[in-house]
Amino acid sequence: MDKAAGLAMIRARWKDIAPAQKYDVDFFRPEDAPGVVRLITEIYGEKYPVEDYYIPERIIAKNASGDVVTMVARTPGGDVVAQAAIWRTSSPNPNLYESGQMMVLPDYRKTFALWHLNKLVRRCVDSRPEIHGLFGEAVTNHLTIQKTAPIFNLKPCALEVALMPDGAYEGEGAGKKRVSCLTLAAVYRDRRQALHLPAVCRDDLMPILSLLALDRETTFSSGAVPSEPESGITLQRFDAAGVIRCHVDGIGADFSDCVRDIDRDAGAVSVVEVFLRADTAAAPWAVSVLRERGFFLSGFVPLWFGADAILMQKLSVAPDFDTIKLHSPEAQALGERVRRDYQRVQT
Amino acid sequence: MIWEKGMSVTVQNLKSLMIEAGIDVDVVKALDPAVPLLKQGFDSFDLPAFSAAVESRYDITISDRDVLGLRTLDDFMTFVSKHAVSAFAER
Repeated sequence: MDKAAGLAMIRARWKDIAPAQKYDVDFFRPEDAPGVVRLITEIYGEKYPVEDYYIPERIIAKNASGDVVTMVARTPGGDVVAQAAIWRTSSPNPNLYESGQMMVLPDYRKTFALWHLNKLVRRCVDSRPEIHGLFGEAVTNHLTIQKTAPIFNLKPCALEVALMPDGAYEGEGAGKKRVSCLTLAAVYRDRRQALHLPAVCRDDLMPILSLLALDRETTFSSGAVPSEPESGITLQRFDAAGVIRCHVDGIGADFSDCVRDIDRDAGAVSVVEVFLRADTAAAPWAVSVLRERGFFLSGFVPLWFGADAILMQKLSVAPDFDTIKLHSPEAQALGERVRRDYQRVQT
Repeated sequence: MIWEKGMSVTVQNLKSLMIEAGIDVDVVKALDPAVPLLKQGFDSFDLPAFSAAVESRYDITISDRDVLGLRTLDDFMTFVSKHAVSAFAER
């Protein structure tokens, strides 16, 4: 089944859901899958950016594999009136989950459904040892998602500038006005590890580390060219969003050449993101290479590789920092620091 | 003012906390403490955000059962006063 078939099936079965029904909050069951598709379709129409969520059997498979943990508010008749989820995402670390997909039918927005769902998400995270941390990417054209950060103790750790096309859920529009995302993270199960950070970014990174309160052996330096000859880089292209995301799992002496090639191949792509593994002594040197090519510091993402990541960005579009809405004082301070670093790198 | 255990909790304390939690200032200013929050402009994200802020600020846990009784600002004030102080007394 593809998205079109999934939508056709849901529309053929469509029935109105009565308001003000009682509901139970529970983990997803396979029989909830059509209700999840119906919920997403009612809220987003055909514009939700992930095709899998229009196809019931894929939702069932993802929950069965543990790649997604969906939680639902279910009426006695089996209708799904709200949901939330955590899921494995583009991070290379299978123990780091993303949190979100909070959706409530309009008739149930004056209920406690989302409160109960968020409590269940929190209990789920607390009880599953394989979940070491959560992160979320909150759009900054409104504050709604950012408001839920304290529920999961998520702290602002990066600002992904101009990450998404305006009207991102239409799946197109790269090059139009873009929306930035505030990255928030929480670490629940940590282990002490080394952290090699660039001295030039010390003042920008220290506030983030302080918020996250991680157990790290942190060294700030300018780094050195690594002895390893080859870098290990995985590259993901999100063409509809106009984004390239690079995971640098190993930093080699060829890193400058690799970055040059990425830069060249990016062409008109709006945003290039580089996640640099931060437990290797060459990480500060790699940051200096990136800065020379116009990358600025976007932030720090704990556990991204298992090890933490330094997040750098380069833009081919002019960011509109003035339209970025950030709720907490910590997020606002982070936004200012990212803006200053962007300006520093441009000059 | 920083709240410390044993101190009383006021409507103004909780309204300030709502604003810190990101709830629209105009909604907060217009709140009638005796009327259900969900009938006064709170949306589905506001209640979890405010409840999390209450738990964090006053070091208490709101259970699934507790929340059924927390409809109004007055309900929250009574709950916080009772539970935060009793938590203090137990230590």
